[in-house]
Amino acid sequence: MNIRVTAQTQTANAIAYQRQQFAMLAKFQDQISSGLRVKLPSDDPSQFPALTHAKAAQLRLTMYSQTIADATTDLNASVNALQEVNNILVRAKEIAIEGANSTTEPRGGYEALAKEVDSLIDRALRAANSQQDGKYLFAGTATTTTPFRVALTDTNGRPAVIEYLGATDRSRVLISQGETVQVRYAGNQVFQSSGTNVFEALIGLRDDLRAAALSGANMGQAISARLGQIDSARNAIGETIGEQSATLAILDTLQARIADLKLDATIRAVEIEGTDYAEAMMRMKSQDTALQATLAISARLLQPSLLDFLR
Amino acid sequence: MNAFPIGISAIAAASRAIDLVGQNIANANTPGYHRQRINFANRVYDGVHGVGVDVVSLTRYEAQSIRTAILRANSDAAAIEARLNIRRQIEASLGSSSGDIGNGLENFFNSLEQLTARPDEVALRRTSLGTATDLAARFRNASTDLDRLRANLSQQITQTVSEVNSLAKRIAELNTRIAHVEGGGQSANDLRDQRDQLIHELSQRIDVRIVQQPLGVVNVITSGTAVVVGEFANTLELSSTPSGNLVVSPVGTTQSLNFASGLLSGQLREHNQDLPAIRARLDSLAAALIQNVNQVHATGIGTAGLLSTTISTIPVADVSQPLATQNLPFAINNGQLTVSVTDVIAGTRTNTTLSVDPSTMSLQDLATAFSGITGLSATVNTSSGTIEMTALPGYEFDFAGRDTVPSSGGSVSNPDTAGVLVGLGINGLFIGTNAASIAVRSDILTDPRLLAASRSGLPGDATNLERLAAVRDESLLTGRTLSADYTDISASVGSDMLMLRDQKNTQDSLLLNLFGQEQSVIGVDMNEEMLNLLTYQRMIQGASKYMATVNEALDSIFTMLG
Repeated sequence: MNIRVTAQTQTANAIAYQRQQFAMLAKFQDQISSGLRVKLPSDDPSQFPALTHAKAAQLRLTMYSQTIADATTDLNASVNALQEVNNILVRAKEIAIEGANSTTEPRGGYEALAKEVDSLIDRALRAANSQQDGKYLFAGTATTTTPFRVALTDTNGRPAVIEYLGATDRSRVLISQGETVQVRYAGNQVFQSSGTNVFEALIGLRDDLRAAALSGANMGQAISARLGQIDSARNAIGETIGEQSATLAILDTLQARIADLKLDATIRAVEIEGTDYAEAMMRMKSQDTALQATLAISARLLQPSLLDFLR
Repeated sequence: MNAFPIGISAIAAASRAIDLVGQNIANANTPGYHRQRINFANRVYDGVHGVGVDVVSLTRYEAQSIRTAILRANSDAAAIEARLNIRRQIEASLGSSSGDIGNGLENFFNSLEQLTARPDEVALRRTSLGTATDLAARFRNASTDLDRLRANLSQQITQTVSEVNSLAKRIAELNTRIAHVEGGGQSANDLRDQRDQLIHELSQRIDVRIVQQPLGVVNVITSGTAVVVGEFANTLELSSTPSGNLVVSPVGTTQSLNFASGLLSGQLREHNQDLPAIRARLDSLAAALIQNVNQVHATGIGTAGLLSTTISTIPVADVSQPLATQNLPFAINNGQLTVSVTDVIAGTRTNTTLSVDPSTMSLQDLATAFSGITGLSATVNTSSGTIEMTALPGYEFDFAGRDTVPSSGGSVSNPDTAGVLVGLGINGLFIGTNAASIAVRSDILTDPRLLAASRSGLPGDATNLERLAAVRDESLLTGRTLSADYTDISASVGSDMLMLRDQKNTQDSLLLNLFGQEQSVIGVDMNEEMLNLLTYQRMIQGASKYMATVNEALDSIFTMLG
């Protein structure tokens, strides 16, 4: 305890306390008006790593939700194209059954059926060459190469052999840390596997329908054999559709989970970084009161001295 | 009869006293002023008769022990404040959380991962390269800022040293004058006040210890040397070591002074230790990024086709000496490098595996080995210390380690176990070796197809992007990922600041307390002075009345005689 308290001591104390209180007041004012409690590492060094972690997670999850959306778009387009091929095969099967059953039909009738198969081949080729965003869906990783083309035509200029030019690897998309899904399949595996070759089945059916050498009964037999081929091609397409639909379902679930995780990260970041308004307001108010008290006391104490009473 | 001399001595003494009260009041708010008290003694004649009053001395109130404590606290507070100020600037250079390097790293890796969904989109490739450019710029900006901060600091240190020298010189001069005055038997209280104030200022710059000498002289000692000895001031000088550190030593010596506290100690510590340490952490973070990203990038293939020529970006000082002796920033190990050469016309691809032993192999030897591969030729530029690999007409090459054509036993999982490509800076994404020099290779920026997203060269293949993206989750720096390491750097600056801020608050309140204690001894109390003034006023009034009374008595005597 000091025995003598001089004006300089009082002034120094008043200045020091006012400075402290003004600084605290400014800090709370900044927290309230910016809405941010932690702007720089020194604002809360222990929470800062958690904050950057939460913010990074937010950004990363946003990015994954975009790659998932991209992958979903591609897979949907792929499934649509495959569905189209499936419809083509269904129609081809109907044609085949029709051809097989009408053994007495005149040759002109077969020609009409064959013409329809011609257009089916054309449609199938187009479906297999479908694009999404200008990039081929069934060329594997060679997304800029047209995957299927007519390599050989018969004497009438109709497609006889369809050739695959794409890559053998499927393209993949990262959908979460270290996890990928296969998006663009290699067309030769989808349409041209041996025994389930879509184009071979269609071209074979067409040629059988046109084959002048086949008599009624033989025709029926040949076409029945084609039916088996068409069915196995359809099954193969169906399997691919199933595979891609399963991937779509996974992506759907993942998208929902990412939305949850993102919300969680956002909440965490806001909890650390955001101003607790109630607390900041209260503390600012009490700081303000303290400052006013200090000012009032300083004003009163610095005034009186013996000078005021010597008359 | 001594009545009049007695009265006059009383009036004279009271006048001196009133002057001193005035001086005290006038300096009530002068920093460093020590209040003074007047000392009276009765004047004696013949050792028997009292003949009035004398002013014998002026006492200057002092609180030596408190002053010593204040000087020490002052030095400590100044050192902490200096460090806090510099830390604040470092924190600002490292950036706020949305514009810092950590955020840049996240953006860069996010864009790479996002590109896996559309590796064939040139526009998206540009976005990815944009984030890479931005990241490199953030590294460079931070390192430039830290360098600038250090250069400014070195100027401030020069300034502080010259202030210390000038203060020491003025203290020595005052010592001379005080010795002169007090040697003559007078008190030099006002000169002492001036000197104390200078010592106070000196204590903010360096740690000081005061040693009292005869005749009011003081010696000022700092860590390891005397700054002021009597009438002489010791000059300090600043020099820099080859590593760029600053050293303060007494002029004419090579002794380096380690100040325990004070502004200068804080500035020197930040300049010589803390700033370089943070800078070094940024550099190793940048180096880890460059090394790991480039390693993956070099063994990938862009969509623009295979390489027809490539040139190394990290120079080798002596191209004919073993690579291990060349202090390369990214060390080359004893291992293998697989080079794939494609014969464009024949459509064949052959893989050649070179054994690389950096302890025996020079850059020149490496070039000879490359040139030995069919379809390749390599030349070394001795002046720039670089190697250029060129495919002969009709050939192309790559380092992806794919299976040969026709096939023979599959692909090579790690085509560069020796780290030659990253060690020499061949076919990387980034060029440079540290935070100051990191940049994205300019030809990739011009032609984004050169970004090696794949390991096959096909546009839809993003397998190399997956490997690049995996770099973000690897624990590359003592168990930390790249961005975790950056967070650690900025959080450690932050927690240092918090600690220093706490220390500063403690020192501030300690100083305030000590100041109050010192003031209770040396400070001027207005009320006290007023009371003294009343006393001396009464003294004059009393003496005047006394003389008037004596005068009246004499008058009566003269009347009787008259």
